[in-house]
This record gives sequence, structure tokens and C-alpha cells, in this order.
Amino acid sequence: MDVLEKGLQLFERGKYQEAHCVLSKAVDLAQEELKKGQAQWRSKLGLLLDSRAACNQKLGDLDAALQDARQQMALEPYKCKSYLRASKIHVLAGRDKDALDVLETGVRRLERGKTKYGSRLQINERLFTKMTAEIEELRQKTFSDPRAKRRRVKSYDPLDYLPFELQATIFSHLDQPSLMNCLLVSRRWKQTLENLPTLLHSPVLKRHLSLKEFVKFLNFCRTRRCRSFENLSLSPRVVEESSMLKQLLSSGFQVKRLNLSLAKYDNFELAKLLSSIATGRKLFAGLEELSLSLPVVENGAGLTELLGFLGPNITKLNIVITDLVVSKLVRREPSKVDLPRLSRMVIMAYPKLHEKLNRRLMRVLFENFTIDNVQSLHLINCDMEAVTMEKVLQGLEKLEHFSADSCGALILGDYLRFLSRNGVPLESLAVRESALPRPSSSVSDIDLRFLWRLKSLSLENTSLNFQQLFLLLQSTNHQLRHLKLKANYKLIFMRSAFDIGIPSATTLPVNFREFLQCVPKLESLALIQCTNLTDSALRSLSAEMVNTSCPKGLKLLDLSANEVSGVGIIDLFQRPKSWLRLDQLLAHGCDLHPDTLSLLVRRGYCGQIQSLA
Amino acid sequence: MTERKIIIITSDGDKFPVERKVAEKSILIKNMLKNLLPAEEEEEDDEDEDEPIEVPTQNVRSAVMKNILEWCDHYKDYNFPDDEQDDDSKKSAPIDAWDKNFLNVDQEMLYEIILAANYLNIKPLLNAGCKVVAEMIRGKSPEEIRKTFNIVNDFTPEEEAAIRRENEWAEDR
Repeated sequence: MDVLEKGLQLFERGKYQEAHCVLSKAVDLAQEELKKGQAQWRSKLGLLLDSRAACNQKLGDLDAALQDARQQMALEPYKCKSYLRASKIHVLAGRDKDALDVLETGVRRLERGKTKYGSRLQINERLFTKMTAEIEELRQKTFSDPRAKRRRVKSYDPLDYLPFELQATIFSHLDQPSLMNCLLVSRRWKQTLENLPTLLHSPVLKRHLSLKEFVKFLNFCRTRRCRSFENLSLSPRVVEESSMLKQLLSSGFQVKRLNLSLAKYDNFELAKLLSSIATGRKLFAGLEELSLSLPVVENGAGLTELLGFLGPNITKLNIVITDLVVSKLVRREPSKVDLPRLSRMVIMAYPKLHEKLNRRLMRVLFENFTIDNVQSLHLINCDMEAVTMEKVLQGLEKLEHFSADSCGALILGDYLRFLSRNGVPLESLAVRESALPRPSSSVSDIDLRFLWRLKSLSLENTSLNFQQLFLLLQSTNHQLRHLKLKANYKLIFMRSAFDIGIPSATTLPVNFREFLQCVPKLESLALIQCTNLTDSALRSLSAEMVNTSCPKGLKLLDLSANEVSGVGIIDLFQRPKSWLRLDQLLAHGCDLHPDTLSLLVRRGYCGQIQSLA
Repeated sequence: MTERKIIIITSDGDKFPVERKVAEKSILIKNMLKNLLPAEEEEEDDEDEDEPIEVPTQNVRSAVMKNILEWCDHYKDYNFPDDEQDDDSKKSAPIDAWDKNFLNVDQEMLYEIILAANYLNIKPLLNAGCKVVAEMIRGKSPEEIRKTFNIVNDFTPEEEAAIRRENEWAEDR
């Protein structure tokens, strides 16, 4: 405690700055000790805060002084000194009304304490009398002195100046964390915000929300009679999944977009829960978008039982299957699922899920689905049989965007064939074949006219050669904007010196002239991990770019994971009459010298370059 | 045909002569003029052709009007896209740099500009003004917000703690 002595000595000698320094250190120390549970530090901390407040007051930092006094109030609510201090600071700042408020609150609190604890509560009677006396004085002053009002610092509270509808507009520009802070500004702000319907439209819950916190959230919403939300995102802790889901489903909430991440709770249990909670069924049936990540149990009905709870409003569905097991205990019949307004569906299975089971799950799902309006379908690691995929793709008459990533043994040729039978013009197509070596596709016998509106094409891991790619690109009617070619091992960009003999049609390297003439409107081109894409291939590419003047609008080039060097890349731009200017160049894993990168930017060839070795 | 002069009269009686297209940035004035000049296109040779049209604006004082007219003049040749159509993109769009600089005034003036834009029905200016106030609040702690607007904290420490406890579920980034 000699620190306090020392601080007080410095204070008495008028060395406020030094005293403040000493006291601040002591305050920190005392707070540490108090946190450790050393209760005897409570009163010491109170004394220290009081002294520091005095210091701050002398130093003219009234706000800091007020903070200290408030902290002391919270620490020892039955000590008169802190109220007197706070009121004095308010008086010094010209806020007599606030000074009065503080004292009145203090007296009320002390009196409550007296009735509660009786004589056990020790109150400094002398200071208590002083408080009541000052209240009298301040009351006289504030109510009789017309200058009192004017002496207050002028407030520029927007709530004072602007009408309610403009306040609402202002708050509508703010995100939830900011709004939560606004609740703490003043009583008036809190009241105003709570009358705004927007406060809880899209609540942002803590990422790892505990059940306790979730219940607080529910209470928060209930007291504000808020029951419908735009967005709600929940990923409960594993042990609390069940209780949190029950809380959510029985809350009576209506949600537009629900995002639910479950680690243990599976489709069967969730469906069971829904069938027992009416409000939960209502919540599910009212959803417009659902994003669901969960382990799946295959019990004959697969996901159809759960998805059957969705209503006619659902437009977007995003399912991530994190685990897949078979259940022999409960067998269920699949139910029909009709989602008439569904426009976007994404199904992603974690890789390495049981292959047979995955296939069965997908078959059950798609055989029982009616999704006539889907415009955008994305399947990732969904192990599907050709028959199932064919049936799915043929039924989708509004399909515009399709992507299939490592879906079983299906290859590019299969997708193209099924899509061509459907005949609906696609806007974007992305195919990545599974890692296993597959038979190569033949495209020459497929009617590719359905590609005439294609804007974006991405092919990865396929066994496509240039001849086939050329057929595809020719069908796009020169409209293609985005092209990504990655790791298609038969697509050769340059004949290697080791090739001997006459090349056959299937091993012909890319003819850059023919290639570029098919894609004059290209905006982004990604050639990643390509066979023999070397500096000399880049040289041919850039020569043909100059010759054909295509594609003039190219803004993004990705040459990652190729054996190209800085020389080849600089060549792309430096050739006489080259017009190429990129917004962005990506060259990860190309081992470029920093000087090359800075040169490309300095000369204005590329706006931005990303290159990780 | 020469354009008739328009004179805006403020609440404190000052007169501001303005071009028609500047004045018409205010939908209120635009509608007023539409009613006052129904025969403009028909080239009627009225004798009061040269008489300027006076537009009184009771709610705006001249110091504020000066600012409003500066804004209207800056945008006189710019056609704002129809509002209402995509509310969301407009909401998330950042404040125009010129507007931001223009609205870099003291808070009282800012509020007066917002109120005047509201009264005169100048949506883009109103929108920018509200956004500027929102930016004064965004990402700030309650104490910082109080400091910004000189607001007195009228919560007791207990009340403050209770509200904080109540809000524990919220992500505070």
C-alpha cells in the first residue's frame, strides 16, 4: 500500500503527472489481484481509483476522471465518495443537471442498501449528509438559474435534430456491431433503436455461440417482439447442438435465409425433431434459402425426408454432406420432394465418402426431386451413375449454369451428351473429372449447338485434346468471356522436341491462331498446369495475339503452375505492336524474379501480379 | 425564347437567382415550376415573360440554401438514375468523394442540409447526408459516439452492464 502513500505524497506536493503515473500502475496491479480473487483488494482498488480521479481532475482531464469515478461506483456501490466526485466533475464541466442525477442515483442506491442490509452496511454518514445537502443546492441552482441550461455543453445529438424517418434511414446504413454499440449511447438512443424494425433483421451471432448466449439472443428478440429475420446463421457447439436446435425450432421464428452447420446431428434426427415441433416445421416451410452442412444417414429415404419439410418458397438450396453412414436400424421410404421455385442448388459431398453409398444417396435424392425451375446446378463430389445424371440434366428446362466437380466416373463427353439432349442453351459450364484415369471423350458426334450462348467454360482434369476443344469453342459463337483450362493432360501446347514421327490428329498441339479466333471476346483466360506450356508456347501465343488482334478485352491471365519464366511472360507484352494490357496476372508456382514482377507493373503491362513460388 | 429567371427566396428573405436546371434538382421546386409554367412550351407571348418567377422556401435559411445550391450546381448536368429501383446497391455504395468533401461541415450545418434536402426533395443529397452521419457512428464504441455528438451518458453503470450482458450473443467484430 506504500504505492498509494507515495501517490498521495506526490499529489500533495502538486506533482499530479507523476502521481497519476504511480497510481495508474497501482490500479493495474490491483485489478490483476482482484481478478485472481483477492477480495481484500477491492477496497484498495477503490481508494486508488478515487485518488487517480482526483489527479485527473487536477490535470484537467475531466472525462478520464469521470471514468475513474464511475469505475469506483461499480466496484463499491455503497461508498459515498465516488458519487460526490462524479458530481463535482459534472459541475466543473458545466453539467449541473448530470451532477444532480448522479447524486440522486447515489442516494437512492444507498437507501436501498440500508433497507436491504440494515446495520451490516457501513456508510459514511458525514459524506451521506453532504450528498443530500449538495442535492438541495444543485436543485436550487438548476431550477432557479436560467443560465444553468445555457452553461451545458451543446449537444449535437442527431436524434435531437432529425425526424424519426431520417433517423431510421441513418441507422439502416449501419451494420449490427455498430448498432449494438448505439444501444449503449444513451437511454434515448436505446429507445429509438428498439423501435426500429431493422435492428434485428439479419442478426450476426457470435461465431462460436454458446447455448447460454443463444438463449440470451432469443430473449433479446422476444422482448422486442422480433420474430422474423432476413438471415440467421447458426453453428452450435457439438455438445449443445440438440438443445440449441430445439430452442430454435420452438422459438416461433420466421427466417428467410437460414444457414445451419451441424457436426453430429444428422438428417434423420433433424427430420424427427421437425416432425415433433410444429413451429419448427413452419420455420422450415417458410424458408427462401437454406444452407445446410451436416452428416447424412442413408436409411432408404436419404435426404428426401428432411428436404420434404421445405415449402414452396425455397429458391436456393446449398447442402454440404460432411459424413455419410448407412443405418440399418430404421428403414424409411423415400418421400417425394417438390420444390417448384428452386432456382439454385448446390450439393457438395466431402471427398472419400463411401462410394456406393454416395451413389445410392444421389439416386434416391434425384429420383424423388421435382426441381423444374433450377437455373443453376452445382454438384461437387456427388458420385452419380450416368443414368441418374442423364435423367437430372434432361429434366431441367431452365438450366443456365451447370458445374460438375469429380462426380463419379462421369466424363466430359457424358455431360455434353446429356446436355445436348436437353438442348437448353447454357451460360456457363464447368467440368472437372475425377482424379482416376478415364477413357477419353469423343465430342465429334455430339450436337454442340446448345453452347451458342456460353459465356464461361472451365475444364479441368479432362482428357480433351485440341481438336475437341476447338469443336467446343467453335460452338460458342464467339461469345465466350471466361475460359479456364487446367490440367487437361492431352491438351498439348507445344510439341516437345522428343516427339518423333508425324503427329496424329489427336496429338496435335494447340493452334493458337484457330484458338484465338474462336474467342475474340475473352476477358479472362486461365491456363493452369498445362502440358508443355513453355516460354516458346507463350511466344507463339503472343505472336498470334498480335496477328489476330484477339482477344482485345483480355484483362485477366492466369499462367499458374506452368514451366514459364519471366522472359516468356515479358515477351507477351513486349512484342512489337502488342496491345496486351492486363488488370491482373496470376503466375503462382512459376518462380519469377521480383525484378520481373516490378518491371511488368512499372511499364504498365499489368495492374497487379500475384505470384507465390 | 429566353428562359425565364427563377429566384429562390429563403426563410430569412434572401434572394438567389438560379438557372432552371439547377433549381430543378429539387423535385419540390420542379413540381412547383411545372404548375407555374404550364404554357412554357407553347411559346405564348405573355407580357410578363420577363418577370422572374419567385420560389419561396420557408424552411431553409440562406446560409444553408447557399450550400444546397452549390450542390445542385455541381450536379446540374448529371442525371441521377431513378431511385427505388435497386435499393440495396444504393445503400452499400460508398459516398461520392465530392459529396463527402462537400458535406465536411460542422454537425449543425450537416443536419440542416439533410433537413433541407428532405424538405426540398433532393434524394441523392439526402442519401449522401444520411450516409455521412452513419459514417460518424460506424465502428465506434458507445463512448466515442457520445464524444462525437456531445451526448451525455445517462445510464448507470449497472444499467450499462446489464445491456452488455443482454447483448452477449452478438458478434462484435
